[in-house]
Amino acid sequence: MILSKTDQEIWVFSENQSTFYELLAGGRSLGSKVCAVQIGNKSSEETKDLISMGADKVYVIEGPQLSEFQPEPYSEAFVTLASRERPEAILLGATRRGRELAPRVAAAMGIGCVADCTSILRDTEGTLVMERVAYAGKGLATLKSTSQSLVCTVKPRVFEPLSSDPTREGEIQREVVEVKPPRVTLVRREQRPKGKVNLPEAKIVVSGGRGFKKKEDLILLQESADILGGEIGCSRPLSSDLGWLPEEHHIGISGISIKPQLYIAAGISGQLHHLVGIRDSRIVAAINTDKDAPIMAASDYALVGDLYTFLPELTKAFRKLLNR
Amino acid sequence: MIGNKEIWIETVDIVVCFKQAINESEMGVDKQSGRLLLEETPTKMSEFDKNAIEEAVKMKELHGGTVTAITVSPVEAKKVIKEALAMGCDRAVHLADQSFVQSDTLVTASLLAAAIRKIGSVDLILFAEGSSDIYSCQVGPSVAQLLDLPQITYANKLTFDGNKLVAERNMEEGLEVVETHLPCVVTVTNEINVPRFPTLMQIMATSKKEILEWNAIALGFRPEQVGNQGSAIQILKIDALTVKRKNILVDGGNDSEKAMNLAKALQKEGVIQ
Repeated sequence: MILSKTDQEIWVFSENQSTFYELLAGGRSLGSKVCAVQIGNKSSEETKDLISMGADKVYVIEGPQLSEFQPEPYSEAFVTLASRERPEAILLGATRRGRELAPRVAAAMGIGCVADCTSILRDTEGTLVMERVAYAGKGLATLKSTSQSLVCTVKPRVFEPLSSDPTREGEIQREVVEVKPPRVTLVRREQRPKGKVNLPEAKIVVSGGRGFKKKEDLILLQESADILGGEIGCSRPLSSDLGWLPEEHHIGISGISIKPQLYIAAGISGQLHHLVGIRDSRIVAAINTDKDAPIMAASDYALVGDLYTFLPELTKAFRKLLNR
Repeated sequence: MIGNKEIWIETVDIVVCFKQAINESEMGVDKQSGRLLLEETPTKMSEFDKNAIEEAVKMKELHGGTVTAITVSPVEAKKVIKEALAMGCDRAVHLADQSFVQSDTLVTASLLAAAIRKIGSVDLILFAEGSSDIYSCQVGPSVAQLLDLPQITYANKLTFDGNKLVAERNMEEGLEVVETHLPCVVTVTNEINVPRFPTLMQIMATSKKEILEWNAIALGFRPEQVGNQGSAIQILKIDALTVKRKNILVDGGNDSEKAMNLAKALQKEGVIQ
């Protein structure tokens, strides 16, 4: 492991707990002192968790405006503290909230910001080097920052969380930070029912797109996925536009990336923004009425035809072949 | 710069920022070196930016006001600027200077913020959620910070309630409704609207619309503050990412046979069991 040339800290924060734990592991992999930034009215239990998951130190930031995530007060709190402590890097999750916090912090401090990192390493001189996908999956950019500090958002599952070690000890530093009240106010929040789906870890994903005519027809995907012990996914229109499936099924540049053994795309045209999310699939099979749809060139097996005919036929064939 | 607008919304003066992006679907790779052919790739208006422009123009049509489209591009950008004007923007500002090449997101945001300050009276600054080629989603919030404005990202729907702007946001955990006073920065999603196709008349009318060109000096920047020199983020390299697929067309006599052939092929690959 190549160590940092400085004894600067690496700070880590995500409003999403599993991403937070991954980032702690990521910070440790860089051989630096890893500091979790705990913000809002969190319990001392949660502080201990952060230490047992890899934090060497926890900054517990409290303040009247910090109970709920809001980009303005949160970035102000980060900037207040980071301007004093000068961490080498601030790692945030590349979630939608992480993506709106990171640039505010970086712009306020006048430092570099790299979004959606898929890798962070040190070069032989100890400088942090980041990779991110560019040009809708056609390029991989390698970047570094010349600024004193740096903000990165890191894609979920880039780092494996460490296993919890309750005996680990860490420093706790309490900070009360006064920030301006947010100018954006929350009117209401409609939590989507959270499914048990874990697409990024799924071995088989059967996915649908605009070729589906109505929500009820998604049963065809489900039946096929059930036979194979897989999960169902979708391209952006089905989740974000039509709302037929929750966002956690949305595969692509603005959704999640998957790495299954088998990806079956039914009625998905295969825009680059979708393809970037499935590039790590081992085998891709596609069913599409249009033989020239981009998904066909991006598949190992292409079946030209209507998903309404071929998806049930395929399910039947799986059933027969696998004796189910 | 811009005071809080406490009065009932009558007209809105909007700035919409857009990008001339690499048309990634037409991007090739040099077979010998494996290098991405970036310079040779045609450009286009970043896909999601059309949603931001559409929203700006719709809002102007509803409430009155003006729409100014701004783009940062060190190279020629006439085509995408004309496209923005044809969609209904009243005028365009091209932040054009050779020295802008390889500006990172913060420098790009600084140029846009300087241009917006120069314009002066602006109620609403619209962006797309991210660009279609890089999708870092960083420039909008950076501009908000630089201008000390509130921000609403990933807006799926925008309406006015009296003097407040109300936005529905599509977040990972669900829908969120937020509100704020103008001026503010909003980034919109691909789902917020269906961008219009300009008519021939609208395309012709663009020749009468104003296109301003501002360089680094006009925006108050020295050459070393912009482009590669002024950017903290340095690109060390960009490798081509290619995925090799087998591209086998599944055949068979009838529908059941075709499906069975696919299932058998997948079994042979060892990916179903």
